[in-house]
Amino acid sequence: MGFSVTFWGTRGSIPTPGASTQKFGGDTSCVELRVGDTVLICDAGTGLRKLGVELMRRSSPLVAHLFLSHPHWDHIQGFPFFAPVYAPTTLLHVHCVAEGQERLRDLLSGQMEGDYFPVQFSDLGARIEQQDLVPGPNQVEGVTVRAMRLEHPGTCFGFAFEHEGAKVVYATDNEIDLTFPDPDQVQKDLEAPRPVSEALVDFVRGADLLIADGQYTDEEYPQKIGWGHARATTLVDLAVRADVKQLAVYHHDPMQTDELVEAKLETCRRRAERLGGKLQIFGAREGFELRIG
Amino acid sequence: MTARKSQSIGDTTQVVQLTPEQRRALREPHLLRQVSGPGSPRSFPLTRDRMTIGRSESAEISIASQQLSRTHAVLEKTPEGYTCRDLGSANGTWVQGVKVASAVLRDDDTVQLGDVVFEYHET
Repeated sequence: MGFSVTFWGTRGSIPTPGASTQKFGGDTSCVELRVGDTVLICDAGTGLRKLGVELMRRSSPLVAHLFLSHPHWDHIQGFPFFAPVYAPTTLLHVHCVAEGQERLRDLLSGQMEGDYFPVQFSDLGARIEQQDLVPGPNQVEGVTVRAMRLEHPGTCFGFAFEHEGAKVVYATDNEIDLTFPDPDQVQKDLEAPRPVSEALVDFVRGADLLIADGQYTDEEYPQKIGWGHARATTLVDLAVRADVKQLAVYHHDPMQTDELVEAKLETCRRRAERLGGKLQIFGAREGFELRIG
Repeated sequence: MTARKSQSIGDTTQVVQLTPEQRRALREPHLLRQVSGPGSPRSFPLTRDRMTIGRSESAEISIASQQLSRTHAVLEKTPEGYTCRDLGSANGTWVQGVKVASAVLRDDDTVQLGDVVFEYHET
């Protein structure tokens, strides 16, 4: 049995509703992975609200597993609006990387303190339990989960999920170029292969689907160095080297209209063609559900 | 805001309040324009909230292609818009070139089922 993957929020940084972002969507980071009845949620951006509505419609009681890449607003802001946490029948496991995400639950609940939100975390009806993710493989209801630290201000992690031969990697908010020995070299020669680290390639290797931050175009990136996000074209090098089957370019910049996202994807497809391989590239888009494996 | 329609009767004007159903009936329905495959080109207005696509004659959008399953996919109206959902077809359902289990459709999307290609248009 493979994964069912649904995109609930694909925008980076801040929600951007409106006609110009209608196709790819305006809600921030949230992806649902399902294996049978097991629900795994990657990030709690504003897309989580709609997922909550759907989960309440689907079943009760609900057991779900939440993986948070990091606690920046666009990855946690949907949590107070996630309807299942108000239901006493819900059991939500919040998985935290043992070395690096020790304060995650506090940060998640902190955004619900009285100055920010009318309902306190302690008043939520659901049972919310913290689970530690150790280095190496972890088992979550038969799904093997690995975490890897990514390049982003503060602390941020990517997650690799494997089940019965199918592999999905969620790696958002990752400024890959900053890990290069000479990051400036890329801008001097955009056509040259990018020296993506072997550790990241290994983490992603063989993924049927890589969902990864490709926020910026090559034109945008030089003005945003150090902001913690990847130029989309570098993802192509990562995905091709790691023999990824499908790449979902994710975490679209709030300034990018649907047309600009399409143009960004076309640039990535041309690069993939030049690099060879059979990589399929698409823009992560709200409302898309894929079967993987 | 309440939708209203002006109606002239003789030299007086009466403002009529419309129900949601009446408002919907006044609008042109969204449509699927078939641009390739058997029978193309032709258009299928989406006049119902649920319409199946397949090679079966009982499908609401019935197309005589051997590359379609008997009941290949279904279009369902949801609060987010029309959703196209694959019904376990042999050849899959592709939206904008991506093989999907389901997808919320947006204006001008391309939907492909076997050799049958549609464009989805909102009105």
